[in-house]
Amino acid sequence: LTPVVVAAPASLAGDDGDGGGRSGGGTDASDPLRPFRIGDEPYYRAAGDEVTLFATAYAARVPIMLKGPTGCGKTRLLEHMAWRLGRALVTLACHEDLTASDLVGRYLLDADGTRWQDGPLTLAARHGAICYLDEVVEARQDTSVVIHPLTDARRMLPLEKKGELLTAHADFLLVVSYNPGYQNVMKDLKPSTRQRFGALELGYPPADVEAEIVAHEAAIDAALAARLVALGVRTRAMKGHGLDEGASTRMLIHAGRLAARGIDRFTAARVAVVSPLTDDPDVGEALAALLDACL
Amino acid sequence: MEGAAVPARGGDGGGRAAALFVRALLDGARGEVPVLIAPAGVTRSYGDVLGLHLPASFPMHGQGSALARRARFAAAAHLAAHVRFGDQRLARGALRPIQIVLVSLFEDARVERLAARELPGLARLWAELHTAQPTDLATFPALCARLSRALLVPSYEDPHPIIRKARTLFFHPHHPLGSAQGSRRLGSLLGNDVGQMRLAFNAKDYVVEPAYRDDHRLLWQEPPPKADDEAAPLEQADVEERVGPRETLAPGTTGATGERPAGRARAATPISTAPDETARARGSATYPEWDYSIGVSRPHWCTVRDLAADAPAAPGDDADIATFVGRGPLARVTNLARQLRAYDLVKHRRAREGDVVDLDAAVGALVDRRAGVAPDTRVYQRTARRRRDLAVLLLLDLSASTADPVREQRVIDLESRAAVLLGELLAGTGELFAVHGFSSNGRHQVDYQRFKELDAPWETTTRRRLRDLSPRLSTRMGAAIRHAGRCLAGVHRRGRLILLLTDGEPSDVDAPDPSYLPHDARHAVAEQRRRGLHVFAVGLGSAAAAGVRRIFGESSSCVVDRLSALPDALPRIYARLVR
Repeated sequence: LTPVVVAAPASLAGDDGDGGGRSGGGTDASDPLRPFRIGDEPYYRAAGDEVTLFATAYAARVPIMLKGPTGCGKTRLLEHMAWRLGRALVTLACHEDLTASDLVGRYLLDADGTRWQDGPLTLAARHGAICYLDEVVEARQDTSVVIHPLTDARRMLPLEKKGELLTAHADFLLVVSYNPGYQNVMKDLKPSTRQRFGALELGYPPADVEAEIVAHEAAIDAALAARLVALGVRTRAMKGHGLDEGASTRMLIHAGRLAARGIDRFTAARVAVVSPLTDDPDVGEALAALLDACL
Repeated sequence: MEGAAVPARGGDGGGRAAALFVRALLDGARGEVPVLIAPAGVTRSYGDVLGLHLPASFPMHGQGSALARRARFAAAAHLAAHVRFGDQRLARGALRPIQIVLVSLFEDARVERLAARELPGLARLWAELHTAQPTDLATFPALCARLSRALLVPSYEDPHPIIRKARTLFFHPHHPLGSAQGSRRLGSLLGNDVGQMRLAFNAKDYVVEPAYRDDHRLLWQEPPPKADDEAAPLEQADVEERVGPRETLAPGTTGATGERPAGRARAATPISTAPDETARARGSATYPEWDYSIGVSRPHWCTVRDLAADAPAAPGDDADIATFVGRGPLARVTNLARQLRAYDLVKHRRAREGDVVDLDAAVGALVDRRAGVAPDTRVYQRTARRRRDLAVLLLLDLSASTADPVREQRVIDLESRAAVLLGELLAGTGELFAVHGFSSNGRHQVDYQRFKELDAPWETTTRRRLRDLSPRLSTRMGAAIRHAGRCLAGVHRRGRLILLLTDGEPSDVDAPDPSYLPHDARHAVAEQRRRGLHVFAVGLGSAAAAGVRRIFGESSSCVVDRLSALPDALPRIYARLVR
């Protein structure tokens, strides 16, 4: 079996770093990554130096692990960075039944026989996109091993069934996300997987920044956004005491969006924050009182 | 589901809700602040070294009404504001009773104003409970109630000259809001004016209005005289019900002793001095112990004695067990076991036989045939039950502190019900599991009891043994963890888990340094992890939170803050861990 080395066109032409906007062959109808390109700038308000760090890691082609609680902006950061770097973003939500073929690709039947179909990981590696494996711990450990050759110096993906040894496109980068608060004995990242990534730790942003984000995303005034954030911050103090997680930025934005469409702010926060957080009547009562106090 | 576990009796649920509310309001600003429900008869809330105490009810707002529930949150928020913004305790000095009342009133207004500046909804919560009117009787308490309202509610109109003056002073831009000294100044100033009015005032009978406000013993260096008659005797008479971080006070530590019951002296108060158990010891093992102060592991430092489990005290059958754990929780565990089993169904691809064609394999076979190669005939897919392939060791902390009462039950009774329910779940999902427990009395006597061995069946006598758990002595956690690790050492499973139930930090009679045993426990956990074991701890009660987090780590520990829900919670915690 002779590996067919498909060296992707090296479009390293100097746009390694911060491209400052979308670039890179977006409108070509034959572009296989067209569905994965990001048109308008996704809003992202940095709370620290994560944008610079990400851009630098991308320039150095260091695979990135985004760590942080649910709804704190991991996916949004990535969308923003993909747009900023002018790269397509191929996202895959990981789950227990994900197989290596789901990632790499498989033969499909067609009229004259069979046809090879690249999986999302192969697609991204072949054509130079950022491949994002969301909640990577959810995938079985033996599945996540297929990413190993792509995430070290080799930057290769063996397509065993197809008899091809794919060398990743120069623009390709693998990014995974991971919620460290996730408590599970059966699922964890193997050290051999973990050590292939540089990790960016994202938490909930500081209150004033978070209020700015909520105001922007929900299109509400700054005062209401600040109140929603005050509520969110305080629910996080209940983490481990009745709540598994406090309210995420995403939840606060949902509440803001409902309020922006004319639902009164108390109802909006009850529907989008308090009720989803808990089924426990005591905790619910505490949250309801907290909601009244904060809004 | 959790809420249905134990029916809320006598509004205790509201106490827990208020405790959570205070936790959220303070947002960690003042560390761990317990919230307690005061004995019946106490009509005003107060704070002391034990925590914040809320009245059991607010009869003036109706029994169990929505307003009464809000009054409890208002009281909780008011005390939280004192805790958050109170900067010092004041000396009474030469202040007269009227001045003391007024200083307290201004301090209430000050902390409420600061709190409402952060969270404007608090002002609404409090304002609703102010009902004083300008037309009220011209007594000093009535005037105080009006003044309180005037300082909180801007829209309240009151022409009384004292109130106008107070408002002007209090809302003056240069009035220092940052310190209780400002309140002291305004209170003594206004006290002179009020004194000249010769209003009726009986300091002995004075009770602050509105009822959500506290009695100010938190503010003054010694309790104001009138508070003594009302609350103190009651406080000493009854054992309070604790709903905050520490679920219950041990009898004897109640009362205003002026001292925080340091560490509850767990080791020093053995409930049952262990009878001579050497007869039951089946063997012993020695383990090293980590001494953080010298950075060295002391070899063969602790002796763990393996005891045969106690014989069940009373005979009984399965029906007793159902009564013991409750039919509701038992049904929920059965249901949970079913869910877990359903989750275990996995697809086996490339099977030689099965109900569905594995598309990938079938296509591969077609490709092979066309290429002239002998195709792989394993082209089916079938669904089969996956073995989770776990070995679980439930390790119970049996130390004396587990005898503390939570409402009508002891912590250990909740632990044993939780253990039985988890056993039902593990047996229901066909897991390999053991239930062990430990206690200690110095490093030479770490007792290790095996209620169920890994290979033993889950049977009625096992359940009965767990039902009859008894608390004893201290908590030498590190040695017990090492011993549990040894029990799992030879077991070949994909995942090996030690699940530890504990109500606090390790301690023992021969370890006076409170950091010594926690350090050792952390070491013991790290050793097991290096050997590929998972160690997870469930803290019993919020007070255990910081301890278990330090020893086991954020991602390998959790806390059950409402202990009465533990039996229901433990199986679910386990299910979440292995799903």
